Parts: sequence; C-alpha cells; structure tokens
Amino acid sequence: MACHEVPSNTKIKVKQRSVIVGIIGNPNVGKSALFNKLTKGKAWVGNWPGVTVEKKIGKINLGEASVEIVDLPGIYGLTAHSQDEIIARKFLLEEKPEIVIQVANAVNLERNLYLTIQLLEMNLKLIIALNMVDLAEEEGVEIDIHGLINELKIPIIPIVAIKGVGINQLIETMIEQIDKPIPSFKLDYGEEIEEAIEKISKLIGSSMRKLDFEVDSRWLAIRLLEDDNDVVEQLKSRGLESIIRESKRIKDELEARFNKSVEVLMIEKRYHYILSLSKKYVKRGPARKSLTIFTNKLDEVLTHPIIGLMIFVSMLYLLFKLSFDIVTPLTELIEIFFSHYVYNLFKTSFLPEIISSLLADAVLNGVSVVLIFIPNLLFLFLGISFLEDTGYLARVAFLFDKWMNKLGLSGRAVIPLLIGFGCNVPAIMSTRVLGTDRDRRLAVSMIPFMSCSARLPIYLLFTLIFFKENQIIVILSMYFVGVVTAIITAILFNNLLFKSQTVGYVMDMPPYLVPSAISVLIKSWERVKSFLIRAGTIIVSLMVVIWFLSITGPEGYLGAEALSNPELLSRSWIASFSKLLEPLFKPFNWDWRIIASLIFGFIAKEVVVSLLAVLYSAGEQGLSSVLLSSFTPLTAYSLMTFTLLYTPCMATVATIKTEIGLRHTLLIVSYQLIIAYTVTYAILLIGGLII
Amino acid sequence: MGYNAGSKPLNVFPLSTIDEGKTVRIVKIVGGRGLVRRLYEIGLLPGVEIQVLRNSKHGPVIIRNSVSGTFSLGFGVARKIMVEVM
Repeated sequence: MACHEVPSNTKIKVKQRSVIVGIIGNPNVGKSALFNKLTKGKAWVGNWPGVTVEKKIGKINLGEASVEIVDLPGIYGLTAHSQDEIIARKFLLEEKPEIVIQVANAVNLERNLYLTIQLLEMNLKLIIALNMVDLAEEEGVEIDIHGLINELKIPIIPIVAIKGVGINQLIETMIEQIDKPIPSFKLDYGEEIEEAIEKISKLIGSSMRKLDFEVDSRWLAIRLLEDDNDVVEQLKSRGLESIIRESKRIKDELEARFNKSVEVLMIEKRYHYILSLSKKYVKRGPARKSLTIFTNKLDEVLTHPIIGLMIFVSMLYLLFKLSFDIVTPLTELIEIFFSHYVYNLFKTSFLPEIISSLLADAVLNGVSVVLIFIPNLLFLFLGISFLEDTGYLARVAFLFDKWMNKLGLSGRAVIPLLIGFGCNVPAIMSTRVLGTDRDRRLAVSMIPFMSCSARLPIYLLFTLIFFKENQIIVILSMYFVGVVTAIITAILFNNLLFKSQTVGYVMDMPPYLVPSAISVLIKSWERVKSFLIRAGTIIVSLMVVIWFLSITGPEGYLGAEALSNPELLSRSWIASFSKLLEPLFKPFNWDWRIIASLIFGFIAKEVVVSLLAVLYSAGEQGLSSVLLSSFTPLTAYSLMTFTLLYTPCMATVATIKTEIGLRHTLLIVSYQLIIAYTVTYAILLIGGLII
Repeated sequence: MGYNAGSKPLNVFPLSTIDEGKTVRIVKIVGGRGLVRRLYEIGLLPGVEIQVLRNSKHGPVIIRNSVSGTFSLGFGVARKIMVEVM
C-alpha cells in the first residue's frame, strides 16, 4: 500500500528550527495511540489557556528540527460551537502549526473527510494518517489511496497506530513536508454561493490591514456565511461591523432565494463532494472477518436493557474489587513503610525537635496520606481507561440514558458520576464531555455525593472498630446514602435551578477493540499524576498548617509533644476554634475533637482519620481502644454519614471553582453542609429510637 | 441528487418510533441549528439511509450506516429526526 515516495536524501534545510505539529481527528480514531507512538510516551500535560481542558504536548527531534507535537481534542467539525471545537480552532489559527496531521478512520473514511475539508479550507498543511487500515481491509473496505492523494493533493499515509505500522513513513513525510508549499484547495459551492463568497472575501481583503491575524479571506467569508459566532465576535472586536452587516445581507438574500439555510446548503455541498470522492475511491466488498458484525453481536448483549445492565453491575463489582480489595496489601505496605520505617528515621534523627516533628508529623504524614491512595486510584483508573478504550463506556452511556434523562441528564453523565466513586476531582474534570453548561452544573452538583476513595479509610476505620460483623453492609450503606442524596439533589436542582431540559446526546459507538496496554497505562498514570499534583500539594501544605495550629495556641508555642499529649493539644488553636463550634453540634453529642477533625477534613477527607488519631492522642495501636471508649456505634455511623455528605474536599472545591465558577461552588458547598447536618440529625434521631 | 427527500413522502415518522432492525431514510431534522449541524457533521442528513439497531421506544436509539458508522442518539434527538420507512 506504499503511496508516497520518500527521497533518500530528505533533510531539513533550516538548522535547529522548531516546528509545531498538531494532531487532530474525530473522537475514537486512534489519535492518542498515534500521539503516544510519535512521542514514545514522553509527553507532558498542561491546560489550554483559559480553560481546563487538558493539552498534551510531546517533543521529538526530526533531523535537525525540534518538533513540538500537540494532541488536539477529538472533534467532528471546526465550527466553534463546543469548547473542544473552539480550542482546536484557536490552536490552528493562533499557534499556526507548520503541519497538521489528521488521524482518519479507514473503516468509515467518509465521516472523517468532513473535517478534512474544513481543515483544507483553513489553508493548513495537512497530512492524513489513515488509521486502522488493517481493520478496514477485514471489513472489506478498499481505499484507492493514490486516487485520493491526486484528488486532494495532500499526503495520505496508511497506518495502524496501535501496532506502530506506518509511523516511520509518517515521520519521513512530515520531514519532507515541512518546507513544501501548501497546496491550494477550493471546494466549489455552486454559482450563487461562490458569488457570495467572492463578494464577502473582497470586502474582507480591503480591510485586511485591520485584521491583526493572518487568515485566509475565503475561509473567513465561508465562516461568515455559516454564521460562525466566533468569527463574528472577532470581527466585531476589530471594528469591522460593516463586513458582518454586508455578509448578513448577502446571506439573507441567498436564503430567500433557496428557501433554505445557507449553512445547511454548504454542509450538503461538502457531503456531496465527500460522496463523490467515496464513489470514486472507496469500495465496500464483503467482509472477511468483520469487526462490525462482531460489534453488532456483542452489542445485542451489552446494550440489552436487562442483560446489559446485569453485565454492567458485575463489571462495576469487578472494577471495585480490583481497585480496592486486591490492592489492599500494597496500600498497607506503603503505609507500614512510611508510618514505621521512615517516620522513626525522622523522629530519631539528630535534628532539633521542632524540625524533626515538622518533617515527620506534618510533611511525612501528608505525603503518606497521598501516597496511600496511589494503588487504589491507579487500579481504578486502569480499569476505567481499559473499559473506555474497548469502547464499552459508550454502551454504558447508552444503557443509562433513559435513567439519566429522568434526572435531567444524558447517559453520558453516568461516566463522570462513576469516576466520582474513585475521586471527585477527575470526575468533575470529566464532565466536560457533557457539552452544555447546564448539564455540567447539574452533574457537578451530584458528584460530591459519590463516595470517593478518600472517604473509604474513614468507613474502614469505623466499621473495623464498631461494625466488625457487618462491615461490608455498613460500608455499602454509605455508598447508598450518597447515591440517594445525589438523586434527590438532581431532582431538586432540576426543578428549582435549571428548569430546562437536557439537550439530547449524539454519541459515537466505536467498534469493540482490544485496547493497547501502553495507551491504557499512560492514560491511567496521567490521571493519577494529576491527583498527586493537584491534591497532593494541597494536602501536604495543609498538614503543615494543622501541625502548626496544633503545636501553638492562644498562649504561644506548646511544644512538638502537643501532638502526642492530649492535655497540651486541648490548649491549641485547633481546640479553641473547635470549641467555639461545639454548641452547634450539641444535638449530635460531638466534642471539639471530632469537630476539629472535620474542619480539617474539608482540606482532604482522608485527613479526618489521621487527625482523629492525633487528637485522641492514639498511636498506631491505640486508636481503636480510644474510639471504642468515646464513641457508640450510632455516633460512629452518624460521623461516617456526615463525613460523606458535608462538603467536598478542598481539591474538589478548587476543581469545581475552576470548572464552573465561584458562585455555583459556594452554592454547592453551603447546600451540602445543610444536607449533611439534616441527614445526620435524622440518623441520630431515628437510630436513637431504634436502639 | 440523493439528498433531497423529493416530493412529499407518505410514511414519515420520528426515528424514536421505528422498530429495531428496520432501515429508514432521513427526511428532515426538526431541531435547532446546533442539533442540525451536529447531525449533519457526522453524516446524518436528509436522504441518508440508516439502520435502526436498538430502540426501546422511550429511551435512546442506536443507528448505523456505512458512512457514519454506529451512533447512539438520545431520545430527545431521535424524536427530532423525521424518517421515511423503506
């Protein structure tokens, strides 16, 4: 299938130049797989300016050029409607990549060509990486690549990204293309529309100097005819209203003549062209070993309303079994290593008491609280990424669409909600797939009630001490309370706050594939890393604050031994502040030590346990006996419930703020405090009656 | 030219009401501009034939055709796609 001849003396003429390459494509075409292959897994993740959508960048050397490869979000078009589309377009217009690689799926090439046309219209230097050519062959899809190359005048390289096939040829083509001119592309929209484009682009051309960005005037004219909000805004901000007015007049005239929206007419023209290409260069014969047939067969089971749901529940059980039960020894190992070995090392060091206490009691404690979660999170994300890459999560969204609709959400919201059981932070980040602001706000309001893994140690500690026989049931009841509260929240917010209905979803159902281990590993590690960095830094620094507020008080420095001396500790700042709040929790019979633990649990819920241990001045062995003497099973249960509901941890709150704004964040936090107080009160009342 | 549904079709129904396994042709999308564009972009436009793979009639549907591949459409979306039974 060789389609491009590479001269043997290919060399980049300019020395030490830096080149930007963007990788773009529809969702589920193997963009990330290609990115990982090109960058050999060496990439860093940042954010796109102004938004919190991940930006993945990798650097490689091609000959004498250093190439920065940027992975763009998966999109179907470049109309700048969704956040992902805006990001992609902004990158293409403002960062001006020297080369754009569009990853296209060979199995249904036509759908990918729509984006191709839009990219070509932007006058970009495009290379198509035609991915999954092996699957296409099995499907009986035959693509005349030479024909397409001649027609589109751009290089098309067949690849199998997941297996690394064709990557070298793609790299050679990139090197070769760097200094080549951009071939011109012009899709004929028909006489009338062409005339309109001509008129508008002339207008643009005459005020080109007012445009401080370099852009193709034909492309701008096309965008104006399609009513592109972003382009209209850009022109407005540069005082070019006259162009907008004139193009609107031309557009209205056309619409009156065709009795149809110009945007629709133009999209139809593009599809006309795509279908003509398809007719000439794509042949669909009988499938040899059809993945489509296999996928359809599997879908009959997995999307079945009853069997599908049962399979999903078992999958979820397996996922949690894997990420919580099986990795427990690993977690314990980390814990023992830190709390015994390293802790003692610091404690018995030659350093002054206050320094060694700072290192051991504050920093080290904080670090170990964070590290203890790595095994759980890693395995949880491994499972989720695996399911995501097989294509199964799209089916889960389908399965739950009907139910999620009842909560005012689309089926896609089920995935962020489920990730919430692992950690609320990535869950909130993943609500971006929901598209509309309304759906995101609603889902984000529900996620904090999904009992994250950081709350599990609290349940584990209390159930081990108070509910040894019914440990699993009691823990499950926590998850249940959380889910029910989330549902009530959705109904409440939906009726009081949003009132509008969710916009329906349109979601690709990719064929089932065996995921690449590397891609799953990389994706999971990136997620764990973001937790470590986001939550880790906050937790460690706040552990230092706790430590400081514990060893000092209204009377000054109490000494590092305050941490192990309850009498000293009761004179600390933490104690004073918590005692102030005691009357509020009088009905719960909670003393200041619980309140203090909860205050700092806001910082990170996992801190509650370590703080209880400190405040009850219990060492590693002592905590259970101390708790048994000061808690009843009922107060233990109520504390667990309160911890579940009262407020998301600081890392989550910070994420909510960056994702959907301060106002909604404050609303969610105060709402949760009220809910937690009410539910806990109810449990104590009802429990008191039963017992 | 294959795109326009032609003269007034007789049996036009919302996609949400079509039985599983049937093949239908899209006649019109009666949604807002955003939805129309989104569907057009993935190749679901008037004149295109699609096969209904799954439809519980009050939930989402799964459809496929060779150009677009397989897609799942929410109930609200499926209600807005008017199709003609072949």
